[in-house]
Amino acid sequence: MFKIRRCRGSLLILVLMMALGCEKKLDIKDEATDSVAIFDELWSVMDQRYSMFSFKEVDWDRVYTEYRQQVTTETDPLQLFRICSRMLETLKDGHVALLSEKDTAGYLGFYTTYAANFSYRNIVDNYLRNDYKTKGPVIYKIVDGVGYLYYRSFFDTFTETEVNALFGELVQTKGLIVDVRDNTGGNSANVITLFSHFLAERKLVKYNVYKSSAGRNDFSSPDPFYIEPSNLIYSKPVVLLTNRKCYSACNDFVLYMSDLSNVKIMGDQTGGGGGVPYNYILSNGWKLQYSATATLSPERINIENGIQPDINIGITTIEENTGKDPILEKAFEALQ
Amino acid sequence: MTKHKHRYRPAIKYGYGCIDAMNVLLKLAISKVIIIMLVVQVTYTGHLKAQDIAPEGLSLWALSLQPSLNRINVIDRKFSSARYSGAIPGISLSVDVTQRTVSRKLHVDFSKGALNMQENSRFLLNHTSFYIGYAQLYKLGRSLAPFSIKAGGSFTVDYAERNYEAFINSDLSYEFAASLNAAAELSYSFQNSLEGFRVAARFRVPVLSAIQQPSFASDGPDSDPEKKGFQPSSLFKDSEFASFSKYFRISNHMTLEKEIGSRHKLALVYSWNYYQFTTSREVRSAQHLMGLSYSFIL
Repeated sequence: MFKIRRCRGSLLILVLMMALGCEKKLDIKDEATDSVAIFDELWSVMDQRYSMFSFKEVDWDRVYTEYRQQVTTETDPLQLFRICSRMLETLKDGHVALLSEKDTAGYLGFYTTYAANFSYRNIVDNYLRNDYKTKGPVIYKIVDGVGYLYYRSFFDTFTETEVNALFGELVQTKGLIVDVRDNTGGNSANVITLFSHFLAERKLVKYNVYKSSAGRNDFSSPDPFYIEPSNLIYSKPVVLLTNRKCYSACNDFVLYMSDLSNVKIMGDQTGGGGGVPYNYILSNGWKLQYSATATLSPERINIENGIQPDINIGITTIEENTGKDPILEKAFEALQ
Repeated sequence: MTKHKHRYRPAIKYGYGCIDAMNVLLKLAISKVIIIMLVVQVTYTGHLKAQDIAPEGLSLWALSLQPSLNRINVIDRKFSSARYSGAIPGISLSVDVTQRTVSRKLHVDFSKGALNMQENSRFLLNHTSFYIGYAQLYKLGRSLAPFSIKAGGSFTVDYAERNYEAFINSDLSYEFAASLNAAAELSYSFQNSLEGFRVAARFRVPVLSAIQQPSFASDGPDSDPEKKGFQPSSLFKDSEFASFSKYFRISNHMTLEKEIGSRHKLALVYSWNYYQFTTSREVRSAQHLMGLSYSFIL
């Protein structure tokens, strides 16, 4: 029991110590950044966030055991980067990457180990004959009543005004070739803008599956995703040209188109990439990219490994060297 | 000399004891016990006289404006375990109503600015925070002057949002908390040569809160992960009740005030605000605020 007159100073000190004690205890401090800590952090983040261990049949614990023994506190940053990159490559996922200030590591095996099946130069020089129009990011031409359009990258914005202007011209054609070969993806909004002009009515196009918490198999129930049709619809026969480099948002576009009855897909299987990539910054400033979701078709099939074409055609090296594109020629033939 | 040692030893002993106790409580993550930040046992004798703040039945109204600089450290483990920090400007407005035994305060605070990662300054985030709170405190004891001890509660809404630059697809994080808090204030009015100066420390700790964060793997609420950002329309659907085990916050607001004339008051303000969300989206944030407050007494 204190007499208030005697403990004025005591009370002030008490208040100060309480306040400062809390601050010291609870203040935010930096995490450890030695090589072992960084490796463990990278593995743990992937363990908690990556969405496709089961689908890709990767034993992530075994991967840890295999690669962790290569890392010590003495491992230099360059070595550590290489070890981490090799560990991430076991997932064979083009959406998984590691970026430092000096280097970038990612998986490109979804297309590098396959034939290219596309040459932009051959298209422009020998088929469009350097005579084509552009609307936004798209180049196009109408030949003998058949339209051809090439969309190089869904990173390039295609506005509603541009799309409407394009289809205003294409609506007179008897068929349309949509070429998305070598389109490695980009902004989903551009995919929706383009696809909505092929859609007659509101359609379920895919399901999204999200990680719901840190457990390796903790997922949300499939979340349906619908697209509404645009005001200007192209309903004539369409041939969609694809190759292995068609990835991510392009893969989504091919999935949406594959479900339309007036669309045929020709070329090679797409590269896949159904997961949506997110970022995470490690304690040492390296940026990690990883697939955080999974995409299922309307039939609930995971599209990570790509979409098969209706008609499988390739381009041989000789054909490419002589400037020919038999995939394009076959598509044109199908629409005559 | 012995008399001085005797005077301060209990405070130091109690101070360390309280810090240890707090550390234990934090570690145990007691969720049902109210943490009382300041425990004072007083006894008053006939030697001390009560000093009233205002005559019986009258209220003192004061409007305050306070620009401030906030030093913020934040770790949001959805995006990084590295600390982002920086100093950002803020502004607050408050209305105080003080009566003989009860004081009420309505306070609104806003701050916005950029923070960067300490390890690599090229990574930036845009931080916005908003606070609105109503506190009602009751004076304890009648004969404590020049000390004043008040205790009571408050209702607060805290919202913080961070937009991470150079992140693809998912770059937004937010925390919303509407809380019922235990609050206490200790103040001391200086006498003699320092008459007119007053120092006060106000603490608040949430007891029960309704919290909302984005879902684990998106920028939107659980009910609609495709949506981005805080959805006020889904406030009831997507908020959950939480106590200390999931949401812990402690705020310490200290002022050194000086009345200037009968209607004006200036104050130096130091405020420390720490919170943590121990959920699937773990967030820890510490904010140090320095400000200068001007009050107009009506």
